[in-house]
Amino acid sequence: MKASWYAEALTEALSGKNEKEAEKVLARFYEVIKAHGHTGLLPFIPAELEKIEVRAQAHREAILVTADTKSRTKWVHAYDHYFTEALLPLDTTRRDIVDETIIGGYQIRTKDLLIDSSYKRSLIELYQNITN
Amino acid sequence: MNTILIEKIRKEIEALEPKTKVERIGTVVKAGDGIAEIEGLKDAMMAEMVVFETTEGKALKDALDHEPVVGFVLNLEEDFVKTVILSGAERIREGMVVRGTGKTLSIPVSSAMVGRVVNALGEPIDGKGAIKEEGRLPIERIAFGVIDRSGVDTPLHTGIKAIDAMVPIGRGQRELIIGDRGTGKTAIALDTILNQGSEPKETRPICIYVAIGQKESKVARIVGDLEERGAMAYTIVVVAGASDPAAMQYLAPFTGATIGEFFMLKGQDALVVYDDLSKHAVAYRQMSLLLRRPPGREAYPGDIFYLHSRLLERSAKLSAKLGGGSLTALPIIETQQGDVSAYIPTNVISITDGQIYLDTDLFNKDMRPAINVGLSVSRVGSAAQTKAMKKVAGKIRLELAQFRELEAFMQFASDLDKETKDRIEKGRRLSELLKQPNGHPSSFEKEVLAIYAGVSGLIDGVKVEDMRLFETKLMEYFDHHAAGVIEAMRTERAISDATEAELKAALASFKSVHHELFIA
Repeated sequence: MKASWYAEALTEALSGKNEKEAEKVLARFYEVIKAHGHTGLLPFIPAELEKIEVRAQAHREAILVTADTKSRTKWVHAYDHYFTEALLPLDTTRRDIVDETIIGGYQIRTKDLLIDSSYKRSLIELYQNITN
Repeated sequence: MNTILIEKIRKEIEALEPKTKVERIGTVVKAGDGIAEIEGLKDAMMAEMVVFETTEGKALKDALDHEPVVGFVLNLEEDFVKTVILSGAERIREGMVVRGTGKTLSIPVSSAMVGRVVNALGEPIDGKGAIKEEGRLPIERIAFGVIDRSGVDTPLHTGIKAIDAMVPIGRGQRELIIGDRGTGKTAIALDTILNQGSEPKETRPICIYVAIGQKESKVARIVGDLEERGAMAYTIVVVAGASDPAAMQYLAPFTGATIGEFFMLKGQDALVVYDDLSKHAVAYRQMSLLLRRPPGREAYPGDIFYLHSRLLERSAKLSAKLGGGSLTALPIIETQQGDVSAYIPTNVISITDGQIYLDTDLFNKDMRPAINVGLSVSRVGSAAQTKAMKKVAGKIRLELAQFRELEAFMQFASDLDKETKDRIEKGRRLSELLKQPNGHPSSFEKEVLAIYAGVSGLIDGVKVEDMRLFETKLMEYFDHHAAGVIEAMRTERAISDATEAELKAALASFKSVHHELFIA
């Protein structure tokens, strides 16, 4: 049995619960872990819970990549467009990143979606069209 | 620089307008041993091709000529997708972006592949340049159904007398070649490929030799031999060598089948040799264990039977409505210490339409090819045998089976009656007649001639040790003095009464000319 499995189960059990209910869940969780003889895993569970939280936060995050800070304002409009078009989930928070290698344009990245309007991709495609 | 090229570049740049592309992506969470665990990739499909974004953070100059790293999805799990990396696994990093292509794994197919050596992805590896593709076909597909098929009715001559007479193979059949290591399994498959050179061009099958997990030196020797004998003119070699990742070894036979199907769908005949499926099973076991699929018997995954059955089911003889093409399969299985009851051999034996069993004892007794007639069988081949071969080969199997039984009995008996002695002597002569050196396949009509001479009693007076000389002289005699008989058998594919009369007369004449070969 892994600490991560207990952490995942606990996260799921705690979701949507108020403080009083959460206390009950935690007490029951301790009983279960004790009954299975896995109390040795308890010190590792908080770290796993932290990892799950970090991962969940990353899933709620959308990264806006631009080639420089100057053009960012321009591309934020594109971000807002996709946000209102519901292509990005409602609970998404935006994080801005500068990556010079994309040359120009922008990229919006979420956990499972990439909206790519970078010049780098267009130039690579152009190169492939010419050379193939 | 070439002005046409400059003009092309100028036009492309003028038309350049960065377009927004929306793609499904995931992130590499874990990678190792050729397997990558990916988070994200919503709506991923089984066997979907994925591309690892190795150019991320790289300057345009470095990104331009970057070889993409490709993988394909094999496990769809609750939170993750597990993919197998096909090449360049060392370039995968944690956190790397992976793009879904929305397409299942496919390979380029083309008639221009003939004469080339390709890898499991259909890419040329012989240094002869790119192959112009005529299309792409998915590597996995459901085999043709009952309605789309027709019965196996056309022979595929191997050029090996023992096989064509006793274990005949038809076009569209799946015939297993099984035996211990070093018993001549590959030699039989290669002789079959070489023999297709003697077929008329319009009915000659395209041969595909799939080397799975073999030493590169062995494959190089095979390709060299095929080239030297002119067989590469109608052959394609698919290589997933011992140093290639297990994923490539797993894909190679499917690539071979896909190329074969391409020709079959064009109405042509194709022959595909899978050398060998034991190594293929081992590669699949390795992948499955790394993908953490539950192991079963001998640690093979539960779907190992389905893996080989879905591969071999793709062999077919199509109905006339679909062009009448065919795909014949010659899978090879290596046994350990002659144990045909092991897991993989029994699986493949039950899937195929018969097997050619090569015996180590016979091989050591200098019987080449070392075919064990008792354990070898062809379940559909006799329906595809030519009338001429059927006529002469009917008796030979029975005579040889009786001889093998008597031979075993003879070890304990001291005194034998004349009839038994004669039968044993005839069996010995017939066995000698069926011996054939490596790389010397016979044409169909010469096989018929040799076997006719054997079963008609002409060899009764020949010493066992003179049988090889007898056969050589017989062929020479017919080439020079009775070529009409050979030609009649070739064109008629049967022995008519008139041809048989001529054949008998020519054999009698041969006996009188070469009386020194016969004991008085």
